[in-house]
Amino acid sequence: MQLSKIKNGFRLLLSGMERMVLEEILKSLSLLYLKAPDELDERIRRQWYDIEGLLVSGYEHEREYWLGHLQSMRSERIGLISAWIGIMEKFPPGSPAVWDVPEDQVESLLMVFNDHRLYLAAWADIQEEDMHMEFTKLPEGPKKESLLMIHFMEAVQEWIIRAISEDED
Amino acid sequence: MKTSAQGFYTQAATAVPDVKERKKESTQKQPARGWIVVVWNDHINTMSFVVHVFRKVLGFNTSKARIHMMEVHVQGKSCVAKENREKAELYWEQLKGYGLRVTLESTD
Repeated sequence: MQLSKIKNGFRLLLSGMERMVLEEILKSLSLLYLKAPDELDERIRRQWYDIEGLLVSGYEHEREYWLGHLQSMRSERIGLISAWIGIMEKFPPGSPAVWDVPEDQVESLLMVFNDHRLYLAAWADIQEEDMHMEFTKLPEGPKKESLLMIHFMEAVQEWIIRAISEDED
Repeated sequence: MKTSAQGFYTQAATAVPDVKERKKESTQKQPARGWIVVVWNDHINTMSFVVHVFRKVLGFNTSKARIHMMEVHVQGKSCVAKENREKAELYWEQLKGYGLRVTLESTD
């Protein structure tokens, strides 16, 4: 993957494999975003829709409002995600892709990528010590696969943040 | 904080409650008071991501964003804003939208 600044945004050059991985991530997130919090796996629900901190501050009577609001914030991203998938699908299957991300979509992209990291961490029960484990020492399995993807997405996030911060500092 | 499907397009989104109505009703019941927005440590969100979010959502400059990020990292939490209820809620939902752990606390 290569990232370069372009006018009013940045360009991602994706290998065939990277593009396939990102497409799958975006598709699976779209499906999850459609679900109401109560329909999600408990681990994911707690990660994305934890409003306990709000409820203890006197918001008990607004529980449904805030859960619905947080879910609608996510479901509103689906149109954009579909457009991103459409961009990648314009390239022949398995081939590299060029993805130009306009400035006004950058924050949504960061949120979506971060949601995927949070999702994986919740799903695979990733603890703090796991995040610092030497990768080669981890046994094969879902936890190792999730950590690999979490770190990959982290690298993508870092590149994006670095690229967009250059103009701001 | 960390240091370092096909066919879905056509599915209908799950219905959400009539949020505007609920909000209007509940806001009218609450007396005016101050609220603080607290961001809590977690082991998935990265330092640079948190700094970025603080800058975008709260309008902090990089230096202030880093100070609050380090407070979250070292002390476990940071009070990032003290506002009226409406503004505090806005910050809360925006920070939640990025995936940060955030709570609201009344100053009363």
